[in-house]
Amino acid sequence: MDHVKINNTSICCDKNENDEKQLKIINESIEKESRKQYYIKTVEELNETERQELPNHCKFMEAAIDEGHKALKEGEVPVACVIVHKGEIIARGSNKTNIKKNGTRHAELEAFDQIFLNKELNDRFKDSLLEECDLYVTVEPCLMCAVALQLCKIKRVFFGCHNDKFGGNGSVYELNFSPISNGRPYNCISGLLKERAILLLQLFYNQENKKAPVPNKRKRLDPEELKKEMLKISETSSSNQLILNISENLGDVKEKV
Amino acid sequence: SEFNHLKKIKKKPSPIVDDKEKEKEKEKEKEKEKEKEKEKEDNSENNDGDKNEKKNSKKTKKPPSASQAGNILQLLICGESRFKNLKVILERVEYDKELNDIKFIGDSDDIEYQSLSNEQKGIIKFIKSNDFIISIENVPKYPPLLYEIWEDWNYNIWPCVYRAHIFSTPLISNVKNETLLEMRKYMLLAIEQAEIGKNRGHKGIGAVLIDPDSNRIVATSYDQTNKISVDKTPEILETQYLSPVVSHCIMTIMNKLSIEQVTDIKRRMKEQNDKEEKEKEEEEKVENENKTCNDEECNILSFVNLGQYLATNFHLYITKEPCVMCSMALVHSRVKRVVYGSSSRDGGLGTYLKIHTEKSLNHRFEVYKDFMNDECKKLFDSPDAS
Repeated sequence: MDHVKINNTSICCDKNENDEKQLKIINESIEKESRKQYYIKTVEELNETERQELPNHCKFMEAAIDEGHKALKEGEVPVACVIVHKGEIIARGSNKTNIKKNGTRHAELEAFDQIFLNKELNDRFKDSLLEECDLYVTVEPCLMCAVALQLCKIKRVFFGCHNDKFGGNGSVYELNFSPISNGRPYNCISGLLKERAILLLQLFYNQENKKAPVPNKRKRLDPEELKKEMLKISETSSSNQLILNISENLGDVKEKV
Repeated sequence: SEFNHLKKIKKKPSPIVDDKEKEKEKEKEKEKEKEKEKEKEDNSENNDGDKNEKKNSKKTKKPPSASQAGNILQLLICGESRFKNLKVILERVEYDKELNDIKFIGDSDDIEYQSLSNEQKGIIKFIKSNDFIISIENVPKYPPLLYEIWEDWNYNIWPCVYRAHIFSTPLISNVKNETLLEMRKYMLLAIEQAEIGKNRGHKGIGAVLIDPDSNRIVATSYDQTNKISVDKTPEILETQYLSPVVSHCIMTIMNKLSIEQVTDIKRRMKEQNDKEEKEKEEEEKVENENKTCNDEECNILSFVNLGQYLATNFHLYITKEPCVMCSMALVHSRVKRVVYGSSSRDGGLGTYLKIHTEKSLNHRFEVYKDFMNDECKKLFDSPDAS
């Protein structure tokens, strides 16, 4: 039985290779089109007309940063966000990964759930989802949140600093263009109140982590110290001297060759 | 091409042969020997010298340091051209311990031995005096794709490096038959869950989370993206608090797991509080009652690092390839292995992206695809991801 199955699966994979190629082509073409329509910009790259709205954006970003300070007091990684609908903050969220013991409870998802649990808001946005809403986050959304934002069909995303390890809007991948089924690509604007967002993170990482295990310090010696240690060893055992000689002799042999 | 490598390894559980490398290994030994002999000639031949040599020979068996290896590699090349008939000669030579020299066995081919240069004689002498054996052995040509295979090769053959991000999605056919049967059992459970979800008007996608050490089923869940379940039976309580857009199968299962863990923590906290209260009652009976009740949230944080951390070491079985969001959620929750049925157009574990092998992320895991493909396709036949 099992052997038959093994054969089947390997055959299936060969067949699927063609399908995979086709899927890739479809995905790429969708991505290309969305790249034409949507953009990732830094704050400096904005138009003059768009710049006039900057103080407005900063106001909302400050609200998000305030939310981040609250999270910092709770002992969470201080990432927070605000969802804005036509100049009105409808939801706030901050990281809850530690308290909820769930690695997926990021600020963005917390904010979505707030909207869903609030009956009034839920009725208002039921079918249109967040099509008219903007999101303000202190740190670039991770890969997971970047896709979740597509699924919610958000209009624009503003974020402060980039996230080199997890960032889904430019750092690792540009997932706001990606062909997610049931999703809608969105626009991204980065670098809004960047320095304040970085400061918030630094406040967190400067804290001492009392629960952290004792780190294994790797000894990195200076070359001079290394020499001294080598000499010590060679004094104690004559065999090591031989090794040193070997490496010298090797050089001679090389030349002969 | 990646699959080709995999297939080769499948067919030959014993690693693939590369004769040249073997020869090189031998030659490495030879050349080290050469060098030692020269030292001998250079240094006055003491009794201590022999002892030192033996120590050296032991060391040479260990992987040489980077600088040494470079030199030795260059020597290998010249060794090959100089010493084509080394093995033949070695068979006809014996080492005489008393004379500390080599003897040649046989009569007619003595000339052949005499024609060797001093250097070559020295090499033979060194090999014989240290009981080196020259043989051809099989060595893996391709990097190990699974941790288990790496363990086998690294300790039994020669040191190699295991890089998780190198492996693509390994095929199910790499797995032993016994584990295949077990995987089948769990996948059937996932399919069962998917059918429950389908009956309630959701997409037919189900998942099971398993603790491989104890074979315990940690959590089961199904896709809940539809806003209102069709037959109006209440959804699993915990996942009701997720907005339906995001409540894909994996998000719900992780939520379930976390709620289980939080209740577990709360139970432990209660137990401890009860203990403390009892002790205090016995000792003082009055006072201190106010202090124990406060700061519940702070207390939760102090317990967070105890017990199971997220989903570490757990195996996940899901009927459809997870989307990018879900695959990232798996990274965040530190899963060890994922087995999925049918693949999807925008899936994050192999089709559109390979999140599980992404270099910049801080966690990587094994993924097996196309397991019970047909059964899973029947449940939800659409290119969309879960």
